[in-house]
Amino acid sequence: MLVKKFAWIAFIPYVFMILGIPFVNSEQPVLGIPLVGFWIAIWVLLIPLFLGIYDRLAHRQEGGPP
Amino acid sequence: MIVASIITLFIIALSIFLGLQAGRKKTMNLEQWAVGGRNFGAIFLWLLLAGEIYTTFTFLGAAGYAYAKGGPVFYILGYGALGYVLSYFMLPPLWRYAKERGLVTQADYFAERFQSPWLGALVALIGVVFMVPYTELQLLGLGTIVQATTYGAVPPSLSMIISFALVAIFIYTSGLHATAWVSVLKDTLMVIAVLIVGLGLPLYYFGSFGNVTAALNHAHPHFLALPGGSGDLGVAWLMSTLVLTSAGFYMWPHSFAASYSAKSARTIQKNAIYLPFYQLLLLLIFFVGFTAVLVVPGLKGAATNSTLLVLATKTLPPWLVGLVGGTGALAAIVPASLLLLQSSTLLARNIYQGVIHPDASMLTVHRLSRVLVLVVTAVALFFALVAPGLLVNLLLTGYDGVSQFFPAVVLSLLWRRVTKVGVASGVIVGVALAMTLVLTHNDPLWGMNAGFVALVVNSVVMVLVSLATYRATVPEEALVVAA
Repeated sequence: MLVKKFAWIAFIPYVFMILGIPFVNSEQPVLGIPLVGFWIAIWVLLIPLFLGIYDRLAHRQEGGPP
Repeated sequence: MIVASIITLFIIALSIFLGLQAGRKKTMNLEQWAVGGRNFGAIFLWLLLAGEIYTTFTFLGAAGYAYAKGGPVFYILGYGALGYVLSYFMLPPLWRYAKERGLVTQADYFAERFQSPWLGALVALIGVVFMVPYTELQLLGLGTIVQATTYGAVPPSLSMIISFALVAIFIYTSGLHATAWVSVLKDTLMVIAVLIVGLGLPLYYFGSFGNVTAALNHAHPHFLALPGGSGDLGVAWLMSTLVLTSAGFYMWPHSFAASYSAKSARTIQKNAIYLPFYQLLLLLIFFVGFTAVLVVPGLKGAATNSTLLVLATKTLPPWLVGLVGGTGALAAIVPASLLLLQSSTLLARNIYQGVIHPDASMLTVHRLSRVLVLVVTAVALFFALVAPGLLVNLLLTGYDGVSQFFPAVVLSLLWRRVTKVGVASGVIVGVALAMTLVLTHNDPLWGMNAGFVALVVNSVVMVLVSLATYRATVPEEALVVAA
């Protein structure tokens, strides 16, 4: 089933947000926010994108938009 | 002072009025009372779920934690969004199952899936126990709000007692519909209040968010990284806490049950995709706490819970303090009512009717639920009066417990061989281990959140015990996660 094969796409932000923490542990600001907070914020913003992509793929499989 | 408290009281009174109005339109039965008759549309559900997320924890707790701990507060920014990723996959099959079987509570799911009322009772009991600290945090928050909006005149204990009596009355008469309409009021006010406080306060004192960060980095180097102001909450803690709390995000009995009232599985998925954006508003609250570090230094221990209020009363005119106070009060009353509603339903339906007195009529169970609301409220009030603490720590304790349901839920959806004995063993071991570690001051353990360690052990136990106890002849039903 093609759809389940792509499910990993939805988990990319989950994995990267968490595994990246040791590398971004700094208070140095990026756009005014400490790096560690900025890293998390970026992945929070990207979750809708990745979930949305997976969602599109999953629903195209079923033949057309819901 | 009069102005502030009048505005706060007006907002509370309005919400009670809305609550009572909503109740009059429908006749009550338990299913409607607890789950709202299953006819909520996407927008309404969005507001209801968002209402649950923005609680005293977010409003007061997060600002206080930012003030006290610094960098570790950023877990709060990430865990909800991560929770939504999990919910996208996990909630739709649960929703379908619940609809087919007419399930009402989280415990019902376990009782039905594993054909075991005793497992349902166990899950119900654990759920209720860990909802107590969550409810306690609402009461504590409400106490600090009344103290702040009356500029110290009304003692916190008295105000907590009054507010919670009001909450009990309003749940008592109308159940979930009331809480949903008040959520609309609350969420509208909350967005306004967060924008005023979260933008107004930092910008007033520092001109920009970047200036707040720079000033803090100068005055307290490394405070905004890990372990920041905490000493023991480092990188491993942050990572493990994100896993623990994202797994536990929908394991709260009231959140789990609220998702049953979605209009469709598709609605749930759409919400999961878009709700993460809302989480970014939390950054504003963190900056209130960071600003306060430099503007109102010196708060220690449980006093940090009132960080946002202390800064607000110092800076804002009384009418705005009243608005902030009223919003904060709703942010306590709404989640508290959902928590109390769930607790009483779980006790009446899954414990009393489930295993003590299975022949009890629905009417008896309904009446018992109403009485239990008052009992559970009193218990939470008792703990709030005798054992206050950091709001965020109370919630993390709650997560140590409810997250232990996560492996069971996931396995129950994916794996035919998971057994009721396996689930019970895993959950019991997880809860016992987490509590033991916390009470013996071993949280964090080896740098990691103790609840997370317990979660890992729980999963292993659940799998091993299931393998040992599975019998091929037992017709356990396995759900398959739909494509």
